[in-house]
Amino acid sequence: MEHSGFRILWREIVRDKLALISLIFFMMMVAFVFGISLFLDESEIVTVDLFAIHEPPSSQFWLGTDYGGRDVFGQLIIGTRNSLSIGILVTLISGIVGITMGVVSGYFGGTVDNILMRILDFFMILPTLMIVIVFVSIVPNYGVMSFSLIMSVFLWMGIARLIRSKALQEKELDYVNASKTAGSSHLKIIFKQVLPNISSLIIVTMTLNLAANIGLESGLSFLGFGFPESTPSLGTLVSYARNPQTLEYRWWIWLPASLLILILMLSINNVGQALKRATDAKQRRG
Amino acid sequence: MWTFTFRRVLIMIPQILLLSIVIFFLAKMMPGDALTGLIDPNIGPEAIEAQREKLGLNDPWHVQYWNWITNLFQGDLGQSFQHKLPVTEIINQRLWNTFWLSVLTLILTYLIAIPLGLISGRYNDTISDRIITGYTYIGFAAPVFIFALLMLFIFGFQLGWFPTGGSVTPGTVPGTWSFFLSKVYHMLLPALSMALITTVSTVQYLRSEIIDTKQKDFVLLARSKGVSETRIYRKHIFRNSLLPIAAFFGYEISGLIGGSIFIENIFSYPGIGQLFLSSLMQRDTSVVTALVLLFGIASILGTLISDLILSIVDPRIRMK
Amino acid sequence: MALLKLEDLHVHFPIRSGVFKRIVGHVKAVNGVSLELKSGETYGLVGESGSGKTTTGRAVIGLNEITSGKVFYAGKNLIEKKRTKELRREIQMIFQDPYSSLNPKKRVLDIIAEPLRNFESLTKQEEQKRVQQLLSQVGLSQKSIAKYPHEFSGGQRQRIGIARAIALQPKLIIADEPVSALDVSVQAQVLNFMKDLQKELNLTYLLISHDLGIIRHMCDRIGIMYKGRLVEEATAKEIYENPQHIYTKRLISSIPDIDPKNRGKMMALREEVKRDFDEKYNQYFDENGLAYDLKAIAADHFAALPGEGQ
Repeated sequence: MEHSGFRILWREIVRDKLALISLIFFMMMVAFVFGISLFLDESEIVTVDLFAIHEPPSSQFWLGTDYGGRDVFGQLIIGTRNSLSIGILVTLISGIVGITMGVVSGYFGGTVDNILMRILDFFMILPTLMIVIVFVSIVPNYGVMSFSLIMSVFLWMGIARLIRSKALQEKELDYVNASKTAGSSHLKIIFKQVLPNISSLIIVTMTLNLAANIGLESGLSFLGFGFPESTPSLGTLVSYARNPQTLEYRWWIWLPASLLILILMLSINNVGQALKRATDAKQRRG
Repeated sequence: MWTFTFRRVLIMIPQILLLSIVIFFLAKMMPGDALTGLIDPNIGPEAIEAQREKLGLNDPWHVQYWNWITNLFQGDLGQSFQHKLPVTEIINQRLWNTFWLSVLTLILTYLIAIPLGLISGRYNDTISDRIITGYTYIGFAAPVFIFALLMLFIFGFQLGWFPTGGSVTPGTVPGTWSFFLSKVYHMLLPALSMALITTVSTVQYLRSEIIDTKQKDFVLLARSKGVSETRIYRKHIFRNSLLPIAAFFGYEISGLIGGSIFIENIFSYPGIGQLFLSSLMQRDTSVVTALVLLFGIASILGTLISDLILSIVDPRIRMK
Repeated sequence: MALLKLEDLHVHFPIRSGVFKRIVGHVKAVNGVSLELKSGETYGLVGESGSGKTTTGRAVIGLNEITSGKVFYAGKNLIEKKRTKELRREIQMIFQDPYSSLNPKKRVLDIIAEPLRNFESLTKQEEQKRVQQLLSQVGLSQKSIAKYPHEFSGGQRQRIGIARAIALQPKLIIADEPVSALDVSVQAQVLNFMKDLQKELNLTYLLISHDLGIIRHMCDRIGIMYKGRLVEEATAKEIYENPQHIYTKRLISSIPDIDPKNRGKMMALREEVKRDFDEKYNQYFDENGLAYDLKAIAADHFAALPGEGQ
């Protein structure tokens, strides 16, 4: 039944109504946000309009305007798109690094494993959030790509550990030995034989990581160490609430973005948790 | 046992050393050094160069590192140019605020986690379990800063039940009972906001641990011998499940540190999380490096403590 | 000339302990084994678990690193020279567990074609034809080619494993407990099939097993292993009818007899052999509990008997 791993994952999601709704919601969200943003004039949205500062929601500005007179609804759409994109980008970069480190470490074991694990241990002890913040503040030519890279450098360890322990189990199985005697190179065995057997674990972890990374990105933007203001993210909108006046009297600026982050992370997590259950036969529902 | 402890403590030395080197280079990369702000902008470049030479800023990196680290050991963390005060003094002012906030958060975390975990695990698949599990789902997904912001908005601003900033009501005299109460009152909402989120993993752990233990042979045996259900839970299950939880607090420390940066910022609470951000904005390098080092060492020590306690509670850990 | 020849083979695994995980000793899994396989024969390696028989087999094919000693294949030392492509394709292996030895994520086509893809450059059609031919050779239907391992029974899975092993037309096959994971009813089927295949393809088997019944059924010559060393080696007939070493005697006496009338007799015999074994243990093994070097007792019969005089 194992080859149909993807079918098991899918079945678990369908069985779990909440996960299914979450998945559909997430997909619609992505389609909506990326679709609408094609028709939005981005430069117009981020242009300061001093005659329309802090306007409450109206038919012209569905969610009012911020302190620069910029349309909050437009920023919300662009912000969601930016947050999702960077979340996916960071998840992919850190995932690829983590998977490679983990599978190489677990497959070869011995000295290779020892060295890689010491490197991993070293990254684990760093106070990640603070160092990322410091890095963001000192990197010249700071932009979306450098921001994703900085985040990824400190986020590959979790997945590397998981993959390593799974690879350690897998390499003891005789199909790996059989591949060796069949003359396959280590590289071929790792990527063609072992990796497919770890794929469901990878999907689960990447899904949960995506949620966490969106949270982290918006958190950093909230503190003012994420995207520059000209590239609004969901966290940027929430960060306006650091002004008590805005927090207390102008909910339309920060509340929609906050709830959106919450719902996005919840729905991705719901999918991730359902997938996680599917990989653990004991907890499977279907 | 001793081998494990010894090994574990030994590993810490290179860890702290590496951490200090990374932070040292981070500090070097930051714009502005110990001279920034010290010097009058009207002084010419030759004078600045002379001053740099005198302070050892032109030495090779390992000499500079050595001077920095030996000063550290003597408790000299440098000078804050923004506050014109020794870094130790500035940190000391704020440290206790953060310390007590963290303590209160930890206490609340356990106060919430233990009853919820026990109920959820013992009566699994009942309505109350569903509600608790639903809460852990949301808590697991929700970022601390969003949750704290909502708490502040609702309980601080809309309902007005809690103060919306500061660590104590201005004008209260230190040492009095009302000073103490005011402090706790100011800490309560930030601590609760953080605890409600951090507690989630402990609730989940406790729940699955209890559900697991429930089906173990020794519990089934006790039940078959007619031991009462209450006694089974008190004597056999809770004891087994609660011990590891007690050890978790060390692992929580790094989470608390990360959280404190957000929480203190949102609640304008004068602790070191807030100090960190404001110093970074002001390019006050020596304060920033000292704080990163402090937090880094705190989380290394926290992990050490938890590892050691866990190895006593659960000997299997030692084998790794 | 012997097809495979082992000379004083050692395979040691380090034991680590202490604060710095230093090597504090070695497990000597294989501790000085010498043997020879003639082309076309079946050599049985017997022993209890931990006797080093599996490690010996895995060392020959290169899955375990050899600590010292020599392995000659067709006259070439496999240790000094890097195993060439040609050499590697001539030695193949059948694994014990037909469940874990087939990658669950791969179709039968990919499993059987894996060695072909590494050693031969075939077109898709040629490859498919070869795999189908191999499938019919091991008695599986052509439809199997697109199926996944879990759709087969244990015996069928082992046949897939065998098809993979013979895909490169090897000369030597190391079969590590090839049927011990299968139902008894299927065991004989697979073993007989292996015998037929041997005749058809002129294979040489190194058969590793703890099951004396299987070894007797399959093997021309047998080596008995104990604690990493050979204690006796002879033709199958000699081993079963004229065992010399006390360990061999004890193994042989442990084979169950189906006839219930002999039960009392067997019990008594077993008791006697056990007493003998306990008494003479120190005599037959050196101070470290290891067997002595093999000595020729007759042509084609060697035993690790103590002392010079015997």
